[in-house]
Amino acid sequence: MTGTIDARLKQLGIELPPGSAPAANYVPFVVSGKLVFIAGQISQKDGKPEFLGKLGREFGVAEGQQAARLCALSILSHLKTAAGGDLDKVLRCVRLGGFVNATPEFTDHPAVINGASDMIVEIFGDKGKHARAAVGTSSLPRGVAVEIDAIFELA
Amino acid sequence: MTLGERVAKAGLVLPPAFAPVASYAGIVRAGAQLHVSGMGPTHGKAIVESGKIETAADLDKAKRASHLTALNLLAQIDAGLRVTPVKIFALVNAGPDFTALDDAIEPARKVFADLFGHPGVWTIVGSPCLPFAITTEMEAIFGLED
Repeated sequence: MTGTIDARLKQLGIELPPGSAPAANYVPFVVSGKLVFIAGQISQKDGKPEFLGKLGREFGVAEGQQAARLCALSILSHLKTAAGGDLDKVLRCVRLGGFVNATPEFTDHPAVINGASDMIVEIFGDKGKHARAAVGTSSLPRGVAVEIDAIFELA
Repeated sequence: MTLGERVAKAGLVLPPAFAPVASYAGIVRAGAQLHVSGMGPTHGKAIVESGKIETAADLDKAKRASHLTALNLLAQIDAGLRVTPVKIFALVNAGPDFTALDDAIEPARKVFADLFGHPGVWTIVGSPCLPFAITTEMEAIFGLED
């Protein structure tokens, strides 16, 4: 049987990427109590970093939003695994931490991270409304434009 | 196993716990979680590694800093508690074009993975400046186990 959230994903034309397997010193999520903590996800596609560069230098807001959406897709993929394959078990999105690889002058960090926040709310509705931080960083792992981590609550 | 037992088994020696320099606590317990304040590569009050990571030539310094910073997170925790790492936020004092942040932080992840069987989830970012010019800073959430 397809769940409500899975149906919503299909309706929105969103396909989740396969979750990356835990490696020696890396785990994609930890469940503590009813909270799922998801590791910082860099913008990547098919396992390869995407959007290499900085906001305000190589990329504008629209591209930054696409990068943020890629981060959100990875987050959702791990979340689904953490929820035992059933996204209907997600009670709410608690928090997103958004990091934008930006020049010192760039100031539209919130608009960039909206790419992820909007997607989460589109999918989960009111349950998707979350607390958030959006900040600029001087660099990000592998030189990607955006990294996002997340906390969700399970039912 | 308690934290102290894990540390002893791994043959690690923790640095003296850093005392907060203002009106905040080094560690706070909330429910079944411990929240540890941002720590750096210190030995007691002394800063051991400071300065920015600009190129691959600085990577060894970053690795030393991240290893010591991880130990400082553990030094905040009562050694008699049974804990597991949940989430670590790691900042590297890095130049705008230094991207090997995963490599810089790897020794810290390894400390946690070796001690606890998994490293917890990590968020790693480059920061243009950190307090007292320390090379790395990490804050963490640990889970308390029965």
